[in-house]
Amino acid sequence: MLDKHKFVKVWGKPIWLFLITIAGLLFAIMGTGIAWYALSWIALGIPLYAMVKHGRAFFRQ
Amino acid sequence: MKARTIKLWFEIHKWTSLVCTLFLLMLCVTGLPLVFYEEIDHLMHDEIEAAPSAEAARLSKDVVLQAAMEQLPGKVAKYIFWDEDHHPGQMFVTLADSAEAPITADHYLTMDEYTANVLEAPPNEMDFMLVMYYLHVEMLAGIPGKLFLGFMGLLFTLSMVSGVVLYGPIMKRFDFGMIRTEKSRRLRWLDLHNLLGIVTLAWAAVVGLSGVINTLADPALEAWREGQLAEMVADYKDQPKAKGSLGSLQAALDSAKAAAPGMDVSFVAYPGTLYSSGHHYAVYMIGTTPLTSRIIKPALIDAKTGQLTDMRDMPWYLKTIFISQPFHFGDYGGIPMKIMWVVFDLFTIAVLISGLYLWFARRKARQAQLKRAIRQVESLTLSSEQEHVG
Repeated sequence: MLDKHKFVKVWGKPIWLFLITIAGLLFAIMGTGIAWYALSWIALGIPLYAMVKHGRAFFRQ
Repeated sequence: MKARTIKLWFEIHKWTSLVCTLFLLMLCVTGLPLVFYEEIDHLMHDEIEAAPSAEAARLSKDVVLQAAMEQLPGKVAKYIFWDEDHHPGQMFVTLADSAEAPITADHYLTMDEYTANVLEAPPNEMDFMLVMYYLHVEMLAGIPGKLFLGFMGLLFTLSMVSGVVLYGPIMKRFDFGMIRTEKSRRLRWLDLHNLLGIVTLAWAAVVGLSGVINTLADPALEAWREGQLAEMVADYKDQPKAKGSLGSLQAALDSAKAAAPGMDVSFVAYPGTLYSSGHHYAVYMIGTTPLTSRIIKPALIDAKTGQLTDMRDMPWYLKTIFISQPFHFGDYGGIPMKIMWVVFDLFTIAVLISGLYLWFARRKARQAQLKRAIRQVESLTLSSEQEHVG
């Protein structure tokens, strides 16, 4: 139980971000039209948001 | 994971990254303008768009081609391209002294399909975007340069795998995305490296691997020419090359379209060129969906009689290359996707630079540690000598 909790703590978010990025890359090629494009932009926007959200701390004194 | 195993993966990560980082930086930097190739090219060349009136009809391709050839008398056609999505009503004609002439001797004309007027005749010379392109694709070193970059891409993949293996033990004690600002500068950079590395992982893996696949395009095309294409034109093996006046281009296109309903023409390769036999118009058809528009299907039309002689799906290895291309270029999801591609690219540059910084900082720290140890030993030796003398 403890191991499972540890695994999710370390790998939960990276795996989720990996999958959402792959989905974002696939959405725009799977279908035509703005709906598929928008899905792709939203999905690819999530990892970018995560990087900005957590990366901001780097510049904090 | 045992300390020895972690050390081994650390060494793999360090050396694979060190070897490929400078080349990866070059690829990331030259790739930035290439994401907006169309847009920048458009700005640089003041392109004119074909603007048909409502009742205008497109002219026969033969008429448009004839008009192009009259612009450069004595030249022969090598390739003709269309791009209905981005340049509707335009026909891109490549002319040269002969079908076998090298690419450096090609002349390009953009023709209006409604009026047969020349819209643009760009000079065949290296401009900024072409330099970026050739640096990115082959480091201006031809096929060896391309294959070398493919090898660097493989090292980059190995460096990503080893980075992921190391991420687990490092992050065991910390929350996702944590950056230790209160500790040393090196730890702050390490945390940034880990954060950006793990979040860009999927994008970098897809773009990196599709880049590696693309570096194999030349040998794959050669294998196709010697295999499937040779098989498709086997009946013409002992016949002399098609010379003199060729059959109608428009009729060849119509034959190909009739044989592949629901598909569009991407380009035509003339007899004797790299992408055809000595006797055929090779009409390359593409699908109409975002995915199938990347898969090319050649239809061979006898250049003298206008008869369709063969049409086949390309082998799996070429299909793999074609399908992988959009995932490398990021040109299939509109401008917002291109902007995101650039942002991912910039974050990847940050991963590479932070990796280099960590390597330098670690070396510096070890040297300082060594100096301290030497100084300690020296002072100990000196004091024991003084004791002896005393």
